[in-house]
Amino acid sequence: MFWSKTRKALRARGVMGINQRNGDYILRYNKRSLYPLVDDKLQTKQMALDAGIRVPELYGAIATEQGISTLHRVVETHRDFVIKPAQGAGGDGIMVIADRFEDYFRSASGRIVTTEELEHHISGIISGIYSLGGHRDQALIEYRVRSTELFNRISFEGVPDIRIIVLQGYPVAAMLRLPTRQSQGKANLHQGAIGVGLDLSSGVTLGGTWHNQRIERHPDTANAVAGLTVPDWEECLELAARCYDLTGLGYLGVDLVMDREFGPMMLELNARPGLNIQIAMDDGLLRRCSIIEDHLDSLGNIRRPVAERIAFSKKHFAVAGPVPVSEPDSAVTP
Amino acid sequence: MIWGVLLFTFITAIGLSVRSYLEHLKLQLLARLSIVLTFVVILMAVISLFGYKLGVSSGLSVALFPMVILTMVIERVSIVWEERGGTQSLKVALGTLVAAVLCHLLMVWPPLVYFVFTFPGVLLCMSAVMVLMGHYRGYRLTELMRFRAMVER
Repeated sequence: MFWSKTRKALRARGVMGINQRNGDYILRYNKRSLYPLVDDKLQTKQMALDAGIRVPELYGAIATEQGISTLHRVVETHRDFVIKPAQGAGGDGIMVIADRFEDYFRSASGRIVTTEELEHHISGIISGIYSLGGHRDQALIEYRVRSTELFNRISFEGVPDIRIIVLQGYPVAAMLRLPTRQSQGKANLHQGAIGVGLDLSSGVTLGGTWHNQRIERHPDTANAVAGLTVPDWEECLELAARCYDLTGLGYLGVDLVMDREFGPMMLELNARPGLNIQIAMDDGLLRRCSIIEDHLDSLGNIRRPVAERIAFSKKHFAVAGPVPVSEPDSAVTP
Repeated sequence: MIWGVLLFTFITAIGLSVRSYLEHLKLQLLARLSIVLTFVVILMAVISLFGYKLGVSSGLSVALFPMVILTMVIERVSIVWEERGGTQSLKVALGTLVAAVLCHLLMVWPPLVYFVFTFPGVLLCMSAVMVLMGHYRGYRLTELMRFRAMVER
């Protein structure tokens, strides 16, 4: 049958499915009690600051309806800023103010926004319409990241970000997420952004994925997505690997952004990272994760220093020509 | 059952329009929910009154619809409407309706009713099956579609 052939082919490539990700990785490596650390962006930010990891500067947080009136004081000294829910998911509820015009604000897409609209948006965030499970939430007002020239060429509005998946402190997969016209400046794949696989050893872009298909050019700008080098790649890997020691979450998606002035910054962490990164990299996560798990078993599960972990990942996940498929896969058959 | 489907559609639609009006008032979550709940109760009172006067007994029986659940359905659907647009929210509402109808049809199927009531142990067997399903680590059917690009070359 056609289906069983597809299934076998996916198995052979070590592609991870949702059930397997949830059961064998998220439930196994991520303790539920640690979730609030990453689901609440305010806590994540605080933790990162304490550890000396660079994050977009927080201008202010608003937690109550009365607090909304302090908005003008918070943004007084800033021409541009971002408003986002502390516990949002999937990029919903994020409003980017890029400039001002007389008494109005101008959003990143060029729309004029009044102060009342801004306040109503914050009120919505606080009452929890964007938060997971509809709990009350806080609105964060923070520094607007401006992306580098290189990334502007291959993305449409918005700021591209880098997603690195880290297993037990070892980077296993990386992709660049580029906003499109359809995703309205957001870098989330399910909203129509494209994902471009990255070579873990060098930070060079590979092929891309858009709506589960493989693509070679950005749909809006028509520029080729492959062959670019992400600047400060070493620093990105180190930031991502350190996030494991920081949170204790064994299966973690780390989102980084590249700021024009400040370089790589940690934007947020994700305890349930998506699986489309596999299409972007054209390689299976299960295959890569098994390599790390075998390695950890052989070490007796001792935590190694960051530099050593990165060196291991770079050595095994370098994409020089075709990906080797000769790994023992006895552990992966169901 | 026809009555149930009609009532569900009717009440949800009215609830949604009330909810969209409340949106302009920019109310807090709890107040908003309470108002929608009140409207759901009023609607049901009216419906069962009419049903009684017109002698339609089925109107009464479905009027015992769980009110709070209906209110939550309205709230969820309207949030989806705001965040993902009308088509998506209609899809969600239709999906709920279809699932409810299927469950209803199954629950009134006499052989099944007889079987489960005579042998309640069947429920334990069902939960055993669910435990097994929870251990499934393979691909879902949708994933075979989703990752198709990775095996084509």
